[in-house]
Amino acid sequence: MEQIKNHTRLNNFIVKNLLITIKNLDNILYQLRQNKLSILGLIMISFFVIIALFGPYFVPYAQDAMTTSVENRLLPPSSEHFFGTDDLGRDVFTRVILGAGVSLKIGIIAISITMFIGISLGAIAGYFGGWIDEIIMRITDIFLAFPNLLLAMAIAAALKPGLTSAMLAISLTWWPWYTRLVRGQTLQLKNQPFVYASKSMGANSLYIIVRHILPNCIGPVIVNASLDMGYIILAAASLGFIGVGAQPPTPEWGLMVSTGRKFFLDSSWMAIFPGMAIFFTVLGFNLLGDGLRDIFDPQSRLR
Amino acid sequence: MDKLLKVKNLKTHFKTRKGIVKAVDGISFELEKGEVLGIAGETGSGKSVAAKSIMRILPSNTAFSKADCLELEGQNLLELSKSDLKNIWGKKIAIIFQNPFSYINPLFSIGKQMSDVISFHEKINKKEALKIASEMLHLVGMPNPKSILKYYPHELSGGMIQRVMIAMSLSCKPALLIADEPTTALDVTVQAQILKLLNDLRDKTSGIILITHNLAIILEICNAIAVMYAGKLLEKGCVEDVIYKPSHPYTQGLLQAIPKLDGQEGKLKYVPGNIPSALNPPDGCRFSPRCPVSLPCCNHREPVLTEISPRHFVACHRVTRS
Repeated sequence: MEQIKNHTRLNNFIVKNLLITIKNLDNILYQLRQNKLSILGLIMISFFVIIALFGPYFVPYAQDAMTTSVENRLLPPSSEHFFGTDDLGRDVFTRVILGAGVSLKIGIIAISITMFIGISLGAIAGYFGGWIDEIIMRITDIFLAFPNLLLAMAIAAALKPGLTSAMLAISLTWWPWYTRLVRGQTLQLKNQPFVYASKSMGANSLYIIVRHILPNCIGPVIVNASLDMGYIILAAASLGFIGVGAQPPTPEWGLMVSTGRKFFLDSSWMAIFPGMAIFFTVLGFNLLGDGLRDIFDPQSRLR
Repeated sequence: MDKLLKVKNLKTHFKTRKGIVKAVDGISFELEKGEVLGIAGETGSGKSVAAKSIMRILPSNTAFSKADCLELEGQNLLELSKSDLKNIWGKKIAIIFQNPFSYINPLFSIGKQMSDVISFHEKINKKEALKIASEMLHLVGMPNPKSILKYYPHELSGGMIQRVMIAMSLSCKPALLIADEPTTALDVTVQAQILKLLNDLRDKTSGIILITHNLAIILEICNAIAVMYAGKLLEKGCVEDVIYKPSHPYTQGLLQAIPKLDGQEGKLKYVPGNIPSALNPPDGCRFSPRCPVSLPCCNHREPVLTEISPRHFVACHRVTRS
């Protein structure tokens, strides 16, 4: 009897939350629909994510992730090899699909670390003010003084070349923007009446930051993050291109473009297809980010 | 008898670039257990600052409060550290504000916010906290407390949110409840309901301080009244004494200014002039520039609160002379 009651309770809980999620999604999608380009972006991203997650199970030449078959090298695109083969005989189509997974992994991990560092520092700096604010903002300024990609390259080159170095380097380069953003929002929000009322009821600083300040900052942060995902994937590809990011034989798009450069005149398919993959992915994130920005902050429309 | 709140010579100064703003310049009163004190005064008289200074919730880098005595239930509030203060805010002293919609977080449901407030002070789990929240909502007269817990603030009306705020502040059973113009932002019928609610809930706290500029509200539910002007108290005593037998010219002026419903003819009477600047208050009695019956000595010597009848104090040279 008790089991049946718990079972029904669980069912109710799932159904109720599913309905709430669907209702919220429906609202967001309605607003997104107003902007055709952002829908295009959403489609492109979804495509990218599905390929990244499920592609590896359906690739035609799964073994080409790691092995080579030199007798098949530099074959042009055909019905057997949609994107041709590269200089080691590996199917480019397979590697492009596998590369999607690599890029997604880098993107998600890098942006998570970036947001964690950036948001925490921004909220602490904005809420507590004083010399804590000064120290954090001056450190932020130091990082912002360097051009983005150069700083990432320098950090990645200093560390052992590899994917983890690339992720670390990107996170250490991208966090200052989030700190600035969240600090600005925090400065406004900490003077809001409901924060004052909460304090008067006994709330401590951690509660106010986590419950009142951060949830109200989420809008611009999400917009920034969706635009940044594209740039982070591009940065990871750039690091791979110059050789301080992903190392062979990892199927990473930037690395593939780099190796394809040598053969570009005769076997251009080696570089073109990974390059186009980078292009469409970054474009998709850009379009989606623009659409989200229009939802969260309609005043920033330039039209 | 042990008094609930003892305030003696409370002063709150703000350091600004133009000088020191003496928002509260020496007020003294006492609150007995079970009493409702109304602090009345114009805008800018310092009533809200006085209440917040008692609670010690003003920002410590700009506001400096000192008093000869500031005790709540015998505990000296002046020597409490910041972390001690966080323990008494909500638990010993609670405050409700004027505009209910601004003072509640729009992103979270009522139940979540109420249970969070309860869990600041009691070590109980979420389910228990929600149960207490639902009981408090029932106490303040909300229909369907259990479903209200899931609502978001924008789904409720102003009057209901104010009830929610009252419920939140009373949820930890504070000794002192400060209500800072709780009904000013609501319409008259809702105002009557909220006042009746505060009256019914008098047994839930030991004392209430009601701050308002509306003397009719004070007559409705207060036992004692203190009239504040430019940071000083001009008259204080029981409501019956002060409102029916006002001694201070300012109180008399305020009461005359209330329009009457029984066919009053002619122009509305009012107290001419404005509250003096808190940066450079006038010498002597602060009200003397606007006083219709001021004596020459009123501009030089500041009047002190003197008892003219049992528990009825007035700060006026003319009254104490006669």
